[in-house]
Amino acid sequence: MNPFALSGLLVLITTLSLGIFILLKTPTIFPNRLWAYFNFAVGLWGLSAYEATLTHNPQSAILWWNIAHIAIIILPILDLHFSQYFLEIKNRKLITFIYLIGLFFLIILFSKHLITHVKFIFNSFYYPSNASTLYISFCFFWITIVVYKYQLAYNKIRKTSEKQRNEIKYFFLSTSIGYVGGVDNFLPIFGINLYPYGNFLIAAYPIIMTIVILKYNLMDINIIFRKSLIYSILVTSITLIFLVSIIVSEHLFNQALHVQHVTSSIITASLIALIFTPLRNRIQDFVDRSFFKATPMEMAQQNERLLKEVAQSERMKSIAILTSGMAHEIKNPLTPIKTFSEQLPSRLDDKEFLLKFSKIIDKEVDRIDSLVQELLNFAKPSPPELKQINIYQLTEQTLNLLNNETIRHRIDLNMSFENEDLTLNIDPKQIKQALLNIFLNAIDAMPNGGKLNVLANETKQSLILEISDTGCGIDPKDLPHIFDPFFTKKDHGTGLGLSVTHEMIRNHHGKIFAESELGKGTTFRIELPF
Amino acid sequence: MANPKILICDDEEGIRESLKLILGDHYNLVTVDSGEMALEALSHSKDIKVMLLDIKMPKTHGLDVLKEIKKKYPTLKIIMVTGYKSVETAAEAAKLGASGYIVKPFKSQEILETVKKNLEA
Repeated sequence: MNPFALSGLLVLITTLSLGIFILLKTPTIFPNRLWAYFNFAVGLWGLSAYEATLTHNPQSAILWWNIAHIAIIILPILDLHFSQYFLEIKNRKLITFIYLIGLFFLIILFSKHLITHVKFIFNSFYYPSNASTLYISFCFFWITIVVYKYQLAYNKIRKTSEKQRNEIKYFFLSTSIGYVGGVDNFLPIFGINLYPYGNFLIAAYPIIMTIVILKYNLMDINIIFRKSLIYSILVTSITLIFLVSIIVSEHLFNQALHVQHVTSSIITASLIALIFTPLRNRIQDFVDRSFFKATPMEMAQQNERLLKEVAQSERMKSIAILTSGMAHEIKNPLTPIKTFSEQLPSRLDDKEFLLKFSKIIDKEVDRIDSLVQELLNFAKPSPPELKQINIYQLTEQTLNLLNNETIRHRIDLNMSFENEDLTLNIDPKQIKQALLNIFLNAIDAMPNGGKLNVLANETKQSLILEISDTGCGIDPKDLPHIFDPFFTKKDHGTGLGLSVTHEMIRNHHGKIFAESELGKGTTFRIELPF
Repeated sequence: MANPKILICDDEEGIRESLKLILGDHYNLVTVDSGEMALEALSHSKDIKVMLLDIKMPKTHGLDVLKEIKKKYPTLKIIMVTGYKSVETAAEAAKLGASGYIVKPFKSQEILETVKKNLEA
């Protein structure tokens, strides 16, 4: 295999892994989907470069270079589209116009006017040879989009906060590595016969991008997925090492010892198998140390200013949400009290009015009273009284409390625990309340029946509880607000339930996340540390 | 001459009852508890002149209801009623064509005057 084909294969593996990872973890977020498609486009380039430079048939090479150009045409457009979201700059007309130009070049490509000839270069493979006027105008279009994207990023960096500035810098740095490598690939087409080693850089950018995603929590990809990501990095690294080792060993064994291909591959595979476990441990340690287990001192040194900035803005946001929510919840019951007392002196003889008055005032005062109680619980939850509790039994007891509701709404319950004897050091009252709020929401989401599944499995450090329903789901625009106090879409309720659940899980040093799809259902993931 | 017809849209029973108490002796009232019902009421009663509309409602936000109704009935006078007045919401409501803005808990006199002013305009 020639080095260019190898670089193509590496590009395919790394971009495909990153694309699939993003798509699986955040399938409902449109900009993230765009970024996944961008990665798939780069992956298509990798695959085509691999196939085109391995074939000995010029016609087949032309076909693969044409396929490669589908990817080349669409990838800067997808990148620009994603960058518009990432930089919070929306220009629909411009992006539509750019998609149309892309479509124009795709039509030219499909009518076989863009890549027509190949030449045999570097004594190794066929490469596109004709830099026609059309091709030059295509390159001009391609470079203009990339330059425009960087211009947008530069303008945004000058105006934004420090935290966002760093995110933008690192994100664009990682894609720059890919583009620098990519530009290198155009040179042989224009007769500059420099070997396109830059293609290896394209394979490097998804790895750097993944690190940036983890370090800055970009794209709302949560650290709960740490394990799957570590293993993705691990598998990719091992595959890369394996491939490079196979090529090098084939070369060495064949030349020096005249051993057959299969034998050299078996020897290399055995060596890889031997080093797999120590390598896995090292990679896992490295990822843990680098991204998740920094000491408080290190974290503080690195992020002190950023954390302050974020904390301050979060605090202000919480106060604003709480104030507006409280205003609404308290002023609503106050209104009838005020109106009825205003009207009272002129209606002292109106029995019907007096009866209504007494009922409404009683109801509204109760409402304010229970609201104040809920607020007190929310603002100052009592510290958890920790005990060793069987979490399976606690969940079952909580579900039993809702038996009437689940039967009435024809909801099928399913509990599946990896370990039914597992005990956790928790406050049973708080966790019961936290679970109850989620179960009640699930039941409300399924007025015409459905399924409520509670799954539990364990990682090294924590218990993962997944509570999913097959209800109406949550609108993507509401999803970021479900844990905000007073946020509700129901006819009844104060909108404090999930805020309380969130607070109680945090009191246990745990985490809670929600994923939802409209019309399909919602899944809450609770992570409780051992 | 019959009393002018007023539409009240609020998800809270207490608020609807309060507005009924204040306006009931002077106007012909139609009360509904959601934006969807308000649209239905308007399609049936062409002679509604003024509407009192709550901003924070669970199903459809009051500002969305305002936008929808103003599109279909541009001459209808709509007075927004809210528990929390923010500059942004007030500006947004004015932009969407609201002709008044009342903050809860309101005084009976304030409601009567605002409705009267809108009927005369």
